[in-house]
Amino acid sequence: MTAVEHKFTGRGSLTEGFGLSTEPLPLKPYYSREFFELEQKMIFRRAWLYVCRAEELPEPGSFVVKTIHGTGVEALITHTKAGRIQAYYNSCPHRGSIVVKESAGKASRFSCPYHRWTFENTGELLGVPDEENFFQSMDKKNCGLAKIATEVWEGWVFINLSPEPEVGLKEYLGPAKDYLSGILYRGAHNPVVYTAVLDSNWKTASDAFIESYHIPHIHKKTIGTTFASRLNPYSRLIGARPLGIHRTISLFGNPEYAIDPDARVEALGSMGQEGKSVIAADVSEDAVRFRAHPAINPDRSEHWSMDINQIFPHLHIDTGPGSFWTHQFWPIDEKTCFYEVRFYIEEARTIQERFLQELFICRVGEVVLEDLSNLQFTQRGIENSGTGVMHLQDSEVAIRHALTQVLKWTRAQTVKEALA
Amino acid sequence: MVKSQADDTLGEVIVLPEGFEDLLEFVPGWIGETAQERWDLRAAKSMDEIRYFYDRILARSNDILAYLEGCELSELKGPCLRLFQLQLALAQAAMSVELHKQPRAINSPWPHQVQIRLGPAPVY
Repeated sequence: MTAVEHKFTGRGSLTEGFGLSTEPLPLKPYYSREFFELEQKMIFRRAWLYVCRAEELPEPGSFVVKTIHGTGVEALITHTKAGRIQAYYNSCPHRGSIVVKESAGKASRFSCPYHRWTFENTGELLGVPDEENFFQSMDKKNCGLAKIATEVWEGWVFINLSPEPEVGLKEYLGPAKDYLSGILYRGAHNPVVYTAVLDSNWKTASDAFIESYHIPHIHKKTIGTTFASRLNPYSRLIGARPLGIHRTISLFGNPEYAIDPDARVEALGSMGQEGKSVIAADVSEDAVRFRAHPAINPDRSEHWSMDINQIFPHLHIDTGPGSFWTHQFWPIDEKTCFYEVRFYIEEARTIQERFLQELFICRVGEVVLEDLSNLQFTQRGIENSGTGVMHLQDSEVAIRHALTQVLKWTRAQTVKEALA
Repeated sequence: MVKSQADDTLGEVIVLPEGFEDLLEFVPGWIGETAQERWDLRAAKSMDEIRYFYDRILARSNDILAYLEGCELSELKGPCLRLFQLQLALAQAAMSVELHKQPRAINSPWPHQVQIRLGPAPVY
């Protein structure tokens, strides 16, 4: 038995490495209304929340509107002339109307559709029709769009819904900031976007994307043979490490994976490519630079397929052999969430490449559908559990760490305490 | 090489480029304007229909890709665009034929909640 074989047959020690207990964990946080309300108050109103990549706001005047599901907040995010990216409540300080109806665009000024109050994209109130009929007690300086705390780190735009965040974004990201620093985000301007409203708690959904134990069963026909093999039939993790309140895991890849000879379209799609499959290695200079980053395949394993970097509370930044993609899980209520996945790809230059991308997004669509179809059964069972607990194995360490952080945040009186 | 992209506006309706008349039976039934439309089209068809389309388009794929090679991606329109949309639909058909061996993913609901909000650029 080689060292690698041993690693995938003996019991692992990732959980101990995280300093976590191995006891069963409670299921109540996955369905309780009371717990959902606690999460909203203690997590989603205090934590830094990822909203979009800076590439969505490419130049001064660019804006996007993002729904912060579950909180009732709609954030208008602008790129100002001074180069700052800043979020505001998309609500007119006059009588509360939505100011911007579009989901994205370019404008240096916004005009409320209700009574035409006009604002600079820095939030300041510029004009009020029939201003003289208002009262002296109204100070225009205090009637700009209300700001939402906003910080950007390496192109990741975060907001914080507390009026005065206790800690800045850098302190919040902590070790994850250093660990992920300097990654070349290839294709960041060109996402393929999937969304879904799911009949499951946001954590039920997020958990489904941070373990590979399910892959050989749920994805038997789509990606089962990519992520498991005789060497590692249950797709155990290659590695995992905590990053403060965040975490990263690396998944196994089957190095012997080859296209099924019957999969003739997949073979057609990879025609002229160096690799063997639609998710195979890209050998361009940028791809090589991307893969050279220490956080990508951190164990430098020949059995590596991808990493999942989970940023608390609801963002996953995944990295594969040549690209990155993100998942976001926004709670709507205790049994429903809004899911968005973005695959960032280089723009196709040829017909062949564009066809290859179509094949890739078809395949991904099927995989996502398999995961999401399974979620309703997980959620129904969770709500119906006779024991009230779940038993996690070593390769499910990210779920254990994530829930531990959620529980900690709901109990901590201050953000400093939650981060400690 | 820039291919002629004769369009319907020339007075004569040219559905597919010359030489691909054998694929006319798949227009408009397999023509989707976006990746989401192509997904919906495939998911609503029977396995026999999918298999038939798959076999016919796969047999012409090398010809289609060779014909369209060199076309500006952002300027694809008319008969060339429709021809490429058939080729793109083959990617969908392959999911049923090569992966699931049935029209849709096993145990997946239909209709379902997953939507492609934005496909690869250029969107078509």
